[in-house]
Amino acid sequence: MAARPPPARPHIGLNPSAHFSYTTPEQWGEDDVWDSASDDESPPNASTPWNRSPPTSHTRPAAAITQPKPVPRASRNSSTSTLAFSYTHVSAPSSYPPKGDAPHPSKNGWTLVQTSKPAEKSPEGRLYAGEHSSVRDEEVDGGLVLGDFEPDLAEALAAARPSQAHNPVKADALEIVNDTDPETFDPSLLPEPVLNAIEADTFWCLSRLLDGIQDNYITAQPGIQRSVKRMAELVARIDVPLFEHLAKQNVEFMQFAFRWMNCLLMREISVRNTIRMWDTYLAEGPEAFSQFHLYVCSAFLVRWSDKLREMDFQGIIMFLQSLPTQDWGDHEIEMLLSQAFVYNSIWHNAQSHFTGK
Amino acid sequence: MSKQLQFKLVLLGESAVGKSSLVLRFVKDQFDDYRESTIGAAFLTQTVTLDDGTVVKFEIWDTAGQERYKSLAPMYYRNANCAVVVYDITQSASLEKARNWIRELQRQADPSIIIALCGNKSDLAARRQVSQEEAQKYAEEEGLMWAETSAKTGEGVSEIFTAIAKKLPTTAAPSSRAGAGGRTGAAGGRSGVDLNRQQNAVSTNEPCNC
Repeated sequence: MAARPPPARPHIGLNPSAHFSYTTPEQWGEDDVWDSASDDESPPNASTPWNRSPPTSHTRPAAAITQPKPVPRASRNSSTSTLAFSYTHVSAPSSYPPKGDAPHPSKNGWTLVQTSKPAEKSPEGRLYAGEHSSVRDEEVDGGLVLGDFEPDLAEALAAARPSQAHNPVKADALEIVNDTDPETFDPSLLPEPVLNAIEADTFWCLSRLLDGIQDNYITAQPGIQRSVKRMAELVARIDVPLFEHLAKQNVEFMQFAFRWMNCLLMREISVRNTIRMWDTYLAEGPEAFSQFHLYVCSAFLVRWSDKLREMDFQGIIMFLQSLPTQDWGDHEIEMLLSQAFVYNSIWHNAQSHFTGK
Repeated sequence: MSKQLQFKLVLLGESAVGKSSLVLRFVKDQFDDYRESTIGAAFLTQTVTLDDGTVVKFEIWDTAGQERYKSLAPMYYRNANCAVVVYDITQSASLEKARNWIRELQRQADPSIIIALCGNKSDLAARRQVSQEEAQKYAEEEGLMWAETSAKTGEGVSEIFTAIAKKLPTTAAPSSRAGAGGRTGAAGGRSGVDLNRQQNAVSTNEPCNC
């Protein structure tokens, strides 16, 4: 599969090369959490099939302070990002706990924060060092109105990232964040500059989410009808015994997969897992919520193949509408996404192999 | 040895009239103050034992009431032996919706389908907008069973399902899917033929060039 371009709005900072690789705490440890590019989770020197984009070192000249900048450290990330506090940071606990004494432990998975000495992390002396936040806030607002807010957002982040030691509010907020489940977290506890950054990120994420799946939610939901049909065709190729068993039991894909498509698996997995999964979707490109999701759903179904093939109609339907995913963590989601990526690689450019049967 | 019968039942009706709550009460004898809206449809089973010892097993498809899911409904009422069309006694518009569902069932569903009209939320009689007389009169005109229920208190819930069970044919082989003896064999055989045909089609009419 060819390397894909980075997301159209790269400030979201998802590194397409990293989604299927394990997180090493060493990487996290060096992360400057306010740089989105910090979610480069690839181990150094890793040369896995998942690395779709070649390692690139950013050697940008130190530009004006308002320019979005790459991470200061040599980065394998091909996307330049400035907006921090994206979902990746907010959630992204890894099933691989930090080892050793990483300077920035991701307590309960919250990897934002850190930098007790932010100045050290910005050799270019950029962005946040010594900036006054109220000034920056005004600039952010202007930038949002004008539509070209990326540089200004960088400053918003600058404003939002005074050192923890000097910002008791933020320290408090992070304490709260660290101990809270995303499902129940109250965003009003966060400082305003952080909320502003989150708002911008949220808007981008929602736009990306909806762009690809509008026809899921129009009259008669043709997008979902099509996706379910294609999913059935796909499963017919990747797991013949399962497909035949479902057919024999008169189970129709629409009877269970409709919900998987309609709610993007939100009813099947926890919010935390959903965030991890959608994070990959957001990075995979504008079509991921309609296309890649198909492969995820197929992998999700095939995962239970052995069990399902021993069940009858009632057992299958009941099982599929209350799947045992309550204990799922990042590891299970990452395995699922990996499998989906394999299916996507094999089948996505081989449509005629499974359509028109 | 008592008789075991299996029937497919579908719930239809406007959004938020209490279809899922009704089924939850019937199947688990529970009630949730907050329920997520149903997406597509949910599947449950429950058995009813009649006075003569006959055990009737219901395979229940609890459909989503929101208008956008309407196109899915035929998949669920197709081959259904009985339908419970639910309205909310505090919302007269929901009875109108129920009438539409009943018309659709009479036109499209199996002609032998047994339809029960069910006015839910009878615990909210103080806010009643649909009188018992009006609903009952309509049900009689259309030849439907009718009852009022409260999923919250449980009033009338098991009664209406038991009444349906009694009205269902006790001899005819239910047209249910898997598990219903002879039909399973037939279905299995048919799908086998389909699969063979598919394989032949692939080998003779391969859509790709490799």
